[in-house]
Amino acid sequence: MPVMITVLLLQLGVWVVLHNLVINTAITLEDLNNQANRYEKNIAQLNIEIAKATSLKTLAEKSQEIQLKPISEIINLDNSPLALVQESVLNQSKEP
Amino acid sequence: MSNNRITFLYVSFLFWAIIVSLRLFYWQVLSKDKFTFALEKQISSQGSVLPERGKIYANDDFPLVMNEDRFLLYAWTPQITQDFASVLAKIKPIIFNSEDEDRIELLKSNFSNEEKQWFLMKSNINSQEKEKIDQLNISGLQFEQESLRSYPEGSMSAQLLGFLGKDEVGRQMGYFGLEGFYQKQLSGLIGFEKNINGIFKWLEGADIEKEAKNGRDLQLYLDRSVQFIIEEELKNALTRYGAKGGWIVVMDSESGGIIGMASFPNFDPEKYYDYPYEFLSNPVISESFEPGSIFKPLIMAAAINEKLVNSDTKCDICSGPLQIGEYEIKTWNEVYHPGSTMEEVIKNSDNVGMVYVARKLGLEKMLDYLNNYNLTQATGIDLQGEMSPPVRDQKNWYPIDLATSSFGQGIAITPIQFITAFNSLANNGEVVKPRVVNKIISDKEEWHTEKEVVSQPLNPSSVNEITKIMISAVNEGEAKWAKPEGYSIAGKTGTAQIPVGGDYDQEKTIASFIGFAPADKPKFTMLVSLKEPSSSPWGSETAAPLWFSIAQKLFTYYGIPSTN
Repeated sequence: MPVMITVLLLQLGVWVVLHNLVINTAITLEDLNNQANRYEKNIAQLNIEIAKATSLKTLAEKSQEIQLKPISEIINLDNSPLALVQESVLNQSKEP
Repeated sequence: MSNNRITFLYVSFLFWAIIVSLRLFYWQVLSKDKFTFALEKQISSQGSVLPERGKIYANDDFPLVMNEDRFLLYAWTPQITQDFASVLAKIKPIIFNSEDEDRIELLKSNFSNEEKQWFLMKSNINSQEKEKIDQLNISGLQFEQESLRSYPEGSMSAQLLGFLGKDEVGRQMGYFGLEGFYQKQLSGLIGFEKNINGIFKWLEGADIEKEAKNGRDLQLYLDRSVQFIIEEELKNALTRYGAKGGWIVVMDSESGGIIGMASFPNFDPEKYYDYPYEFLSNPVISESFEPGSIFKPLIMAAAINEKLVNSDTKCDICSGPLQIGEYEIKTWNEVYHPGSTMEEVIKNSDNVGMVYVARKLGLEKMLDYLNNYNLTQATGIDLQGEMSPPVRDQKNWYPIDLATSSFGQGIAITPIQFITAFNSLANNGEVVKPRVVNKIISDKEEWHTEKEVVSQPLNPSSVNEITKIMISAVNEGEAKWAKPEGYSIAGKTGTAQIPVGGDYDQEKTIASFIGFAPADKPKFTMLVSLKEPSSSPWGSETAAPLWFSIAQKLFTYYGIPSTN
């Protein structure tokens, strides 16, 4: 009789442990799934923000803000480093 | 007696067993569908799962159209326990600004109206704003999610992309451009979700679901740097030349892929509902125009192909104006060049010389070539809204029609029809179907669109000859001052008068330039048109300099070296 009770208690114990394990695993999986969904949404949102920040439209606006000039204009500016370089190259080419 | 009682009990049990069995048979077999339906209604809820709409990418994989989760904020007044003014005070700094004062007043009046228990407070709320409102923990405020299109490059190529609106039952539907043409590919398939409630969830297992299939993504031939260049140049040109509108199309000469397509006025696809219809449609595919002198190379090429003329053939009717019936054909500057060669006819953009060519060609051959250039039907470009102006029957063509159509008047086509036909001169005589989409991409595979040769109206030797004539026209023609040095460009200017009420308005013109470069190995074919430029009506003084300015930038962008 005590043996049977012990076996039953052991079975009950194993069942409780396994049941808890299954439930905990299910909860963890659910959590991970939710987290993955959240991250996926965050990544999608960040992708949109990156795309907007690196768009030619934004870059053009920023370059206007900091008064960036096209290279063709910079070359034509007097005393600009590029103009000086170009001038020195031209002078060199005139040398015999 | 006891036996009788046992028999009675046995019979009565049997009777009840039969009754119960019959009833069960009725419930489980005969009325199975009815009760299954009733049960499902009690234990489950059903709904559709919306797929994610396909995205649209430029040729460098940069997204031109994405999807962004947005939220609608609703108020469910029976659940709002706080004073509505204090609710508004809490959410106002998060989602409202000074321009929303009228809306806030409307919300207050909605709240005091007992008949309105459920009303929309604000749409287009982003995830961060929603999170902040969630943290306030205000009961009675509820969100509904919606997916909106997001355009990182703003209104760039808006008329090519189209926009996403709603159909008559409120479902998302693409209109115009790519959104309209590829609606089925982009929209995907709606999924089906059945949630089992309560204890039955354990009996039935997991939720039953038919997965939604996301829409397919599109990758275009469109190069956003080229698109940016042409949009900026066109915008500046409209101001510089005082034009009412215009369009620019850049086509990959070999494949027929559309590298850039811009037109003004255009619209903001996120606020398409604020614009009139004419801003939404793409004039490049839906507006007909008389091309004017840019049409001349096509007719000249046809006559060369038929070996009726060559570059050195001399025009014997070019000494003065030409009378056809009651009409007089003149040159654009009323200067005449007796004995002009065909090269000079194109260089001087000589209308009388072109009538000489058209007469050599004859009406039947001319109509054959119009057909072979694919100018008599829609190109089949993958954009919604393409139209094809009707072409008259042969019996309705009169001598004056043959004459005027040789220099591009009295014949109406769309810009996309024209550049497609003209591109055959850059492509060994082959007319290639224009395409916007290069690849269609699903979760598992991708499909490349195939190059489609529609016809071959010209042979390569005729193409070589007309190319040489056009190079000479660019080098020595009216617009030679604007041409980038050291580059070989084949092209033609054009100034077409606009027909108004059956006659031509002398003041209103469409100034154009079409060409391809480098002429010996074309990288791109480009059409530039300006509507009603006020600074000068001539294509050589407006559209041509604009074409050359863009070409100079494209040469730098593509790393095409100058021969100087």
